[in-house]
Amino acid sequence: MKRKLMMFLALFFIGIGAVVAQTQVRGTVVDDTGEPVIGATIQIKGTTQGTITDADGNFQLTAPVGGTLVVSYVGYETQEVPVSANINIVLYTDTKLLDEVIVVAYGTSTRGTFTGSVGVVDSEKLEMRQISNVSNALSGNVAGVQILSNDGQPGSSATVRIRGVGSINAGMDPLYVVDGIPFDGDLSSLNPSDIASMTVLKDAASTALYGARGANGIIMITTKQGKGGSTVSLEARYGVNSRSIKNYDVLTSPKNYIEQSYQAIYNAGVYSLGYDPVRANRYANTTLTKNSEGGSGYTIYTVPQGELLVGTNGMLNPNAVLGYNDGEFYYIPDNWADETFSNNPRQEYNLSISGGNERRNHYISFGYLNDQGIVSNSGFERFSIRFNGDYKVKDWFKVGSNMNYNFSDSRFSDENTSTSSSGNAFFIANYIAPIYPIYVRNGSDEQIALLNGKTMYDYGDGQSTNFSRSFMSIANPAGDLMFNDTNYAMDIFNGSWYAELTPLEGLTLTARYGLNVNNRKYSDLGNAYMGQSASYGGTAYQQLDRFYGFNQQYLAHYNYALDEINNFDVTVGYDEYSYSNQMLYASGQNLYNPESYYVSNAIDNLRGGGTLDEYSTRGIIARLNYSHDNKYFGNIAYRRDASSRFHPDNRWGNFWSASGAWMISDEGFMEGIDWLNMLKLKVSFGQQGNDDIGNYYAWLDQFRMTGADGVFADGALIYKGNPDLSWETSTSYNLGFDYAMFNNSLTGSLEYFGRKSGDMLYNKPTAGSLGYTSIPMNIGSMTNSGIELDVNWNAVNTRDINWDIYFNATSIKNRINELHPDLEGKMIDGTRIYEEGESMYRMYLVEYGGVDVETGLAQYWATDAETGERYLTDDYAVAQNHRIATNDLLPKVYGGFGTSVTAYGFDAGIQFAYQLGGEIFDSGYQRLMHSGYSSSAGMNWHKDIYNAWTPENTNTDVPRLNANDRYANSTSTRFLTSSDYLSLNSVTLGYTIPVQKLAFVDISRLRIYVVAENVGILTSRKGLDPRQSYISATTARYTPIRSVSGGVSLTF
Amino acid sequence: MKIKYLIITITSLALLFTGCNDLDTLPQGNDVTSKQKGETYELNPERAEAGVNAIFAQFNQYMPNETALGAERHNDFGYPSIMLFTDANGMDVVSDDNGYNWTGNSLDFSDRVYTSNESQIVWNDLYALIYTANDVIGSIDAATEDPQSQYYLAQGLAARAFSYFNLVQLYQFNYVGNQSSPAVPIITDENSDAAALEGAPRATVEEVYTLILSDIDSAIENLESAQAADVVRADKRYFDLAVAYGLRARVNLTMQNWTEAAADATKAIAETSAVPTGLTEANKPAFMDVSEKNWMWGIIISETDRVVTSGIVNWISHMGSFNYGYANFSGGKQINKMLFESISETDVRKGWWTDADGVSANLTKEQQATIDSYGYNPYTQVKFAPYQNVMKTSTNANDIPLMRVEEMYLIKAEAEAMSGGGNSTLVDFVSTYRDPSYSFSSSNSADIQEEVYRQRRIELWGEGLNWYDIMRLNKPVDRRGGGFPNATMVFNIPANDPLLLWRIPQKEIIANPALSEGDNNPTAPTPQPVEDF
Repeated sequence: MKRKLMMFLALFFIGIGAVVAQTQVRGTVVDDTGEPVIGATIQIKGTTQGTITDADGNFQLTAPVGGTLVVSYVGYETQEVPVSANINIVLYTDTKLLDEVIVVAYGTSTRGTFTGSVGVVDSEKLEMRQISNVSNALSGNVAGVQILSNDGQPGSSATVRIRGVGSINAGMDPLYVVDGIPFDGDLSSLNPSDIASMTVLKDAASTALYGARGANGIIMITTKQGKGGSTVSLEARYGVNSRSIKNYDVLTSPKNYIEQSYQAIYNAGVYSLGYDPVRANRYANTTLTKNSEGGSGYTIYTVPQGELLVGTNGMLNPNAVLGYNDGEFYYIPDNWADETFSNNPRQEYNLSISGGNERRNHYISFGYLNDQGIVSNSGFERFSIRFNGDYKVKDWFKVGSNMNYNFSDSRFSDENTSTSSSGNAFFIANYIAPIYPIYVRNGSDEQIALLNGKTMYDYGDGQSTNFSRSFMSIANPAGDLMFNDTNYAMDIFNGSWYAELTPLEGLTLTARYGLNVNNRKYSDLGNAYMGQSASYGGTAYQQLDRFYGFNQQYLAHYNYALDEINNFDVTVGYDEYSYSNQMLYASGQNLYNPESYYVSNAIDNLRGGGTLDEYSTRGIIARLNYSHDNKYFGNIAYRRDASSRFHPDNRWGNFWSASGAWMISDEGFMEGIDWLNMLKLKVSFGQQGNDDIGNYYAWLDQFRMTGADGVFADGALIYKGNPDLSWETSTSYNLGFDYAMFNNSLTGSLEYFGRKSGDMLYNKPTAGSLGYTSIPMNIGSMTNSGIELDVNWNAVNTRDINWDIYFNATSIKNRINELHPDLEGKMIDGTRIYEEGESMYRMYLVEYGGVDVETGLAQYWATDAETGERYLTDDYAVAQNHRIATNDLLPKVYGGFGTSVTAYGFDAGIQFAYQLGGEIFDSGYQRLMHSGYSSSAGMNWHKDIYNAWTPENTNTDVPRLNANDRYANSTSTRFLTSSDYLSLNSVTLGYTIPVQKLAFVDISRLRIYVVAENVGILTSRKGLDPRQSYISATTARYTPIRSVSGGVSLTF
Repeated sequence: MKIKYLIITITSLALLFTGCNDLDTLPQGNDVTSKQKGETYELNPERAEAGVNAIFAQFNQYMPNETALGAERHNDFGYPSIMLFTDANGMDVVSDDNGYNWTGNSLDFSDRVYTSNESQIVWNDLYALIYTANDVIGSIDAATEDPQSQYYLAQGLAARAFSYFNLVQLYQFNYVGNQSSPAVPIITDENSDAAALEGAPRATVEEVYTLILSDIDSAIENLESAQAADVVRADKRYFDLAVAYGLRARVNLTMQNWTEAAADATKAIAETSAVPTGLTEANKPAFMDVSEKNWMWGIIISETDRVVTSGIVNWISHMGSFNYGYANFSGGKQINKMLFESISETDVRKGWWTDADGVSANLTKEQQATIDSYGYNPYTQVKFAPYQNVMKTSTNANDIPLMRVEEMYLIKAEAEAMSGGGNSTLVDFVSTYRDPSYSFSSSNSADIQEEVYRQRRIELWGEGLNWYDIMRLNKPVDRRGGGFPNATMVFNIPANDPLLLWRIPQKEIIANPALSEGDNNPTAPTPQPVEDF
């Protein structure tokens, strides 16, 4: 009410001041179908006065004679009309197409004039998603962009690949540029709700200006700026996380597991040790509970005195009772997954206030996120504060600044991303046999034991109970999560500041500084109660990292119109970047307070250390844009770049690009083709550099200094440097069309692209006999080429209903052109092979030859040394000499599709991502198909093991169980599986309460919604997540999280 | 006008910042670039010695193969890794394969697969040692007269001889009869640049021994001359004249140069200050500290070393019975039961292992209680004491013996017997220092050699030397009756079986232009378990 009063008073006084020139205006606003537009804003230009249309599209207001009215409504093109007594306005759908501003390297461009290749994710699409890290927003949304994610830890970043992978060893991550400043910080520090748009720059014409770091594409992130009248937005959402990827189909009953395990040991007795069935039965019964030779180490069944657990028929003794009491402890299996995973809450609140006028604008936001993941004590909490402001001090002088402070607290253990680590909760919960207790239970009352009030976990170490677990002995990550404490607390400041001078018409001088400081405190408490750390009396570790990045840019930009049709703009500039990482750590053992990780709380083995790493680049840039009659566009860009990673003589590289576009649809000969609204041909060609070999001082030999008691040693080589090392250069081309047709309802682009990386930065494996095993080199070349298709269809567009459908597809082919001459066209690196003329995504594997019908052994192909012919053997060691290269594992096509509908205030959206035609090595499944061999004992089996070879079941692809068969599931072509998937990334459903209904309060928009993220995935095998990598997948990592939330967003 | 000032201000600001960015960035801390080493040596000339010390740092590395393997392996810590692998290959050091204690691949010889981590660790570690030794050798004039330089040069030469001596014994059968068989590539300070481009082929066994002898001879000369000028080693990590003689004694023994071996062993005994532990000293857990009187040469481990601060990534974690580590969680390491039973009750070494009842007479009550509480199998080693004799310690900073004077007596005994000198050294040594009731009467050289072999198996158990005896004496790996807990690990691999030879890692074959698949040792079939005794 107060505000209305103020407005009235303002109107009153202004009215008096301008009394002479007022006139009464009446009018109607309709859309292009003739329907009235309700709630359209009519504003007197240059003032804050205005009104909105009523339910019939009518309005009336008093306006100055000779003034201008600005008529706007969301989704329609804004119109300006001169003031007159009666005005009828027709609003046209805002296609935004040609005038849409695109954020590009060192500036902006528009859709219509841009010659490069981009993909944009705007804030509307971002609002549809529920993500804790912006990198996840790109999945399925932008053609040519592929998202890999092997860590579902809340807040963690996904791996983003733009147009394939350009190098074997050099960095492949795109460069993030936030508000014009290259960003090396932690992506989790950007609050997705502060982001106005994410623009993916894909081709050389778009990225060459960033030289050193642009070769893998650039993701330009623009944060929100204030504009127009003051608005306050408030958003709150609350939801629940759950496990998005289920485990493989594993055995769930202890009985079934014991019987399979028995079979494995029994078979070892019969087939490998030559025992008769009776002796083998006895051997298997004794071995089952030992913690070696395939036994689990645990007794969990009670059998009557004198009876055996498993009979000669291989079946569990029917008199066996689950649960075993040895007097001291009681043992009964627990469901580790159920005890480890829990459906935890996720909540997020964002408040933003924005506004501005011609002189200044501001955007102020505060956000809070608390994502508890799906494992207790693995949550991510973030407070983010942002202030973005611009101030036009004078007509020729403008300053602005974006400040973002973040505090985040991430509680998680690095172990959860380390496959097969004994501290990895996911690995253990997914792979442990269904026979082990997770808790210690007292023998007396058979209840879970407590230690000083704390639940006791069974670490399987022979100390927490009397048994030693074969699988992951001395480990219980659930107990670790409960009693250990690991967290990263980060204070992140991202600030940028700029000053812009316009001394002459068309000339802009800009100085821009960007600072990113991340003070990260890592703390780790190894509990003093149980498990490994208890042996040290508890462990304390603290580490401080200070990541510091400073960027400075000086740009001069000149716009010059020769005449009506010839326009030039020139940019020259200089930029510099320096980065450092300082690290300080301390550690200690034997804790006074068992629950405090502050190192001074420890008394033994106190240690500490500190290091510094530094890196810097410099660049000089120049760009010329030319447009002729808005039909022909040309662009040339150049950058000279230096990187501290290279020897001073090899430090500078020259990079450039040239591109052009032709607006074909504006040509005379296209007149009359009414269905085609726009057709633009784009061509670009250019070269960029890449210096990211992974080591900051790659040109120098590096040694590890060690020593004690006055004796220094500094000659242990840890990195063989190469003074000849220089830039990897990628040469890219892009040929494409942008199109709009059928009254702009069908838009998109079709592009053909290629990127040839030459002088690839590459850690060449060397002969170990040289004393080092790799050296960085510029070797060889590789090409990624492909086609991208982007289609957006506005299927229905009426006043009440708007239905959009989009689809994108990318097909990329990767090919190695050339390797180091020494390699004679082929390099083998572990299970990978790199061969000239072939994709770099091929594995080099022993070839599986199926199961020997007679023996049940897994067979592999081997090469006869004499004849060179291949033959089948069950000796994997021998088969090592006959490995074969697999097909290209990369998918033939990948992309995304989705749709969104708004109708009568309701909105709904659904978004999918997919990939087809590739293969992946399913190492998770491999693990679960073991033979019962001792190193796999206690690990679960996939249900496919029921089909293992037996003398009765000889026609099978699954080798026999045998605790002495070490090669039953060895790495071979057997475990290659289709990597096709269809994932349902997000679903949203919302309702925006009409403004009229809210007229009694000062709310201009109120939307309530439900959003689900990471809903599900279809793959060739349950449990397999092909999004983990291009090569292999396992479920041994923090599994992706499905989150479902309800929310309210409010604007007033 | 104002605009002009602003432009000037901004431009000068720009220039100011520009000056701050240095493109010559360097790390600070414990990673040192070649550039900084030079600068440090100028600031503090004493630091130049750090390059020589690096030889000995190579014996004590924390996961040196992490990058090469693309994996963190808890059995990857420099030379002691090789000691553990080879011990587990044999039949004297018994351990359970529980899938957790890292011994499985060596127990079942899957370490011979030429992509195995072990195969790479052995190869890379020994050649990294050679690289460092070559660096030292290449930086000193071979004809130097300066005693300090002679001493440093000798360290490089002896270390290189030591490394090639290990390699030649692991990759080919014993010297006699195999002189012309392929051994390993020879990389020296002279050919290392060429080898980086062209690779290096497998040199013959003869060629490698020629290099070993030439290096060790030259090391001895330099050490003699340095010692004459009073330049002596600061501690037992370095080579001194006695260790160099001891090393040459090992080489000559392996080459069956009996007279030379006996002479070198005698010189080593004469030269060294080390003396064998006596009956009242050898009767307790020991072999923990380089200062022990019988050690000639060892790896010095400090509490602050990364291998120690890791807790479990160190030799004693895998070997020790009294301390925290892999061994105590995995049933410990046992002696071959038949070997144990061959030890006389009056031999003080009988107590280096627990007996059939899990008891050792060598232990204090506290020590016995520790062993009891960990619940080991019988015959578990109690030879190696925990660090500073603290029971159940998690500070695994034990020094590691590389050469003890007792071995010199045994070399001398064998070499004398083989050159017709009888059994007196053997009998004197054992009865004086180990078993007062010892008697051995045969004067047949083959019998004496066999008895010395048994003595060596007992005396040097767990010290990473046993495998070289198996190779040198053409012994089978017969685990029957040894008490191996896994029936599936009981093998009887005949002498000279191709399985005994390590295979050159695949990565070497691929990256070394002078080697191809056919140059490697043959693939041996996976061994099959046999019925235990």
